[in-house]
Amino acid sequence: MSKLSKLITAVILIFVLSAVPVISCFASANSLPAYYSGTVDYLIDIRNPETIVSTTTNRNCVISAVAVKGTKVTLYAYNSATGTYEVLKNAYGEKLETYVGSSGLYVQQITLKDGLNSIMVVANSSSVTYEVVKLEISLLNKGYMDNVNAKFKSNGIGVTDIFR
Amino acid sequence: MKFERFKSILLVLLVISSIVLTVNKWFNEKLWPDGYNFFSDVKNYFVPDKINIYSFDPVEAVLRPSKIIINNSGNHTLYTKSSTEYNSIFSELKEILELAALEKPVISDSSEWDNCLKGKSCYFSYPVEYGGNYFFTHLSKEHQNSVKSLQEFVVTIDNRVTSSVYLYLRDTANDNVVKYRLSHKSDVLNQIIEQTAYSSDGINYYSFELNFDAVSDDQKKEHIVIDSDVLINISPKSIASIGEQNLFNNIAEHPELYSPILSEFGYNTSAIRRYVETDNSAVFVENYGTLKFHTNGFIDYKSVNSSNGVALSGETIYECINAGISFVNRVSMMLGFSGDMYWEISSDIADITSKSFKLCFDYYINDNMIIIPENDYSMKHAVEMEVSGGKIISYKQLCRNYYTGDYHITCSSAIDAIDSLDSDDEGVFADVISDIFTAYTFNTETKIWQPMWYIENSEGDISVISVDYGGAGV
Amino acid sequence: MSWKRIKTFLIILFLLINLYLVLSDSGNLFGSKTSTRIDEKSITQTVDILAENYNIKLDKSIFPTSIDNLNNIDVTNYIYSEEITNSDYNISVSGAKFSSVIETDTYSYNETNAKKEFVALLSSLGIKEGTYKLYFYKTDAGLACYAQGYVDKYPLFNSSISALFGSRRIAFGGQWYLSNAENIELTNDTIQMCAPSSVLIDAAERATTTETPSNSFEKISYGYFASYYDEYQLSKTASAIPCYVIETDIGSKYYYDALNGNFLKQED
Repeated sequence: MSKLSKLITAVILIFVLSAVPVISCFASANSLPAYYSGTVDYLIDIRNPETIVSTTTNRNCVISAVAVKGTKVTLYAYNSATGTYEVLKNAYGEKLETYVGSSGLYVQQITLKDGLNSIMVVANSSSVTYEVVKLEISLLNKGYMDNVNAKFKSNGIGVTDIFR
Repeated sequence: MKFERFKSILLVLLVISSIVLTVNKWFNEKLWPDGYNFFSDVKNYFVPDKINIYSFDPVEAVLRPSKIIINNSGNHTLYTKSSTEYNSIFSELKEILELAALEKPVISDSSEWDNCLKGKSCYFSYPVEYGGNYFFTHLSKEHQNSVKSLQEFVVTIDNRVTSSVYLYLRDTANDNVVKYRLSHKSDVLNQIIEQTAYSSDGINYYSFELNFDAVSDDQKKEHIVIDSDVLINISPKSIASIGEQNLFNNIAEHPELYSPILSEFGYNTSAIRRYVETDNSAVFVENYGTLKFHTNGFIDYKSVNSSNGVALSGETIYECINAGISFVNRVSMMLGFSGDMYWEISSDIADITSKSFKLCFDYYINDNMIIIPENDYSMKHAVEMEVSGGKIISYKQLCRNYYTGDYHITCSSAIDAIDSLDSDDEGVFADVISDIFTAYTFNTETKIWQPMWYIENSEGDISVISVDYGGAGV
Repeated sequence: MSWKRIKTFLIILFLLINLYLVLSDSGNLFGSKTSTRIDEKSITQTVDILAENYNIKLDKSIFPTSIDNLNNIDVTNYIYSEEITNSDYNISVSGAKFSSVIETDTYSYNETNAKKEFVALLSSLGIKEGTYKLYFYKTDAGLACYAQGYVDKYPLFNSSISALFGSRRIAFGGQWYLSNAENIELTNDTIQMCAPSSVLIDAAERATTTETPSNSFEKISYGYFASYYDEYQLSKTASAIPCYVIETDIGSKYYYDALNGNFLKQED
């Protein structure tokens, strides 16, 4: 190949490669790297769960938030096998991706796996303006809870008092 | 001797017959010209021609909540009167209420109330505000109540203490929360909670669980605020379609339909005057009032003046209100509504302080209220009754039957419905949403009844949200 | 006195008492309440009151001694009936009244041919023979008659059609009510009617406080009156109620509800 065609190919390649993250952001990538982080912090406020790190005994967890109107919110869950955050889908195979309407409210229910769930909430207002919130939700199963409950009962404390 | 015997018998018979003839003469003489023969009425009193056995008990009816929500640690299931589990849940709640009537509560607060809703509890509410004393008198005449007016309750259990249950009550007059500790085994309630709300249907969450009841300080994220206890539908719901039927088609030709209603209104069938209008509506006139059966499906009764009317039994105001509720129920039972329909009171009872009041009811089917097209019938509610001095002076009732149709309509989630509110409307953000619900509404363009979302603000104003449905699902 | 004698005496006594009760109560026997009786005493009293307080003469003989207890009956207003739409004539309707003029072949009318043609006319209008009585009279414009509506043997007072017979024409019009009931059966369940006494007194009050006072009551009639519940609204069917009509010497008629004595209307 001549030097000119090599140069052209390289330039095109650079453009293509640099465009990839932009395109994937805008089109809601199916998976995002673990280090992915946002460019702004004013787009979305998570209302539930109330803390970044939380525990629950209910397999169904509802993520609620208030956000700027028109923001697109997408949910991802960390897959330790691939080391990336993969987009969450509903029972019909559709991505859990919603645009926040004029109410400013966002709500979405997800199903948790046993143990630790690392959930990433990505709020986009454009391809370059987006906020990322990472949540750590631990699902404790009933058997575990009964054991803990029994332990605390003997001490006169109810577990539900702790996990309210 | 035989002859003497015969004479004695004859004498006795003659005495009896003269007594009878004399009495008969007294009863038959008309003593005054106007109104009815008083003594004939007295005679009728001893010979009732119709004995009506009512299985409706107004006392019980008032105690039945319009909404029961079973909460099991984040899972919430809503039950109404049309649910099959309603009766068994209600009988347990009634026992608990009866105990509470005899106890004095202690002060509690909203955060404890919210905590109960998060754990294992049963929330139940009534369609309108009731006066505290009015409500508790239904449970016990010797109640210890001090709450002014009420509408919502929460019963909660503590797994550690199975011999007690806790009942929370919100006083709507001052928004205070009070708590009763009652000696009642919690096993039945626990079983109900475990069985009914064992898994979330993923549909309903309280506003406080989603933390949508708090205002954010951030100006950029302006958002709607929803009252803490409002149950929000977060996914689309499928609601059955309904059909409508006019019960008064050709009413003038159906005495079997109107005669029982006429007797209920106290019309004396032998002195009645019947008029059939050019549109086939039937009007019945008696000395004290006019009862019109409109051919497009509603009844309209008006008494001649406010001192005459259909008398309601009951000496106290409490008894009078209950008699009014019974009356509405009796007339409604005669109309032949479908088994899917039921009716709830829509007017507050908290403010009734005399025997002059107004009672309103609305129709419900499939857990949803039916919104009456006000312009068609000049009525806001399905039943509107005015009582003055213990007498019904005006009564209007919609006599159209509603039944479940054969297809389903998919309604958007509550959040999507709120989103479709006009965002330019300042009023939307200025006020807090105190209730959001679906109700069947008549679409004047498509001419079908469809469920629509309604929101209620803190002032009690209700407005409809028009959403475009993408056609009916099957 | 032996007990036997006492018994015999008592038997005769009670026999006489029973006889008296039965006779004075005849027509009002146990269970037989089909009419209201008015006793002599109240008739005399009423006549006296009318004469003394109002100066109205009333002949006792026209006062009815017994009034049949009648139920209200449903009547159909002729102008809304099928019969008027099925008739061949061009009938104009104004308010509750209807009228029309028809051409005939008869040049001159007398009572015989007028009656024959009028009866035929009424039949073609759907009004059956036997539901009315005809009364002929002469006017300046010619022979006239009117048909007074009847239900069984009771006149339906405001149901009447009058006709004027001219040369080759009959002009007729009026207000008519059709009733399904051909025979009125009196039953024991009917409420007692109000006696005419109070009605006469009210009529006397009205008759003597007008511009042209009356001097005597000539006739007391009893029958039906088709009433409307709303004076501004005509209904397809009306309720015919039992009614008294008091006619005075100057031709005024006063109509009263026979059940409760309420004044209905006045005609001059």
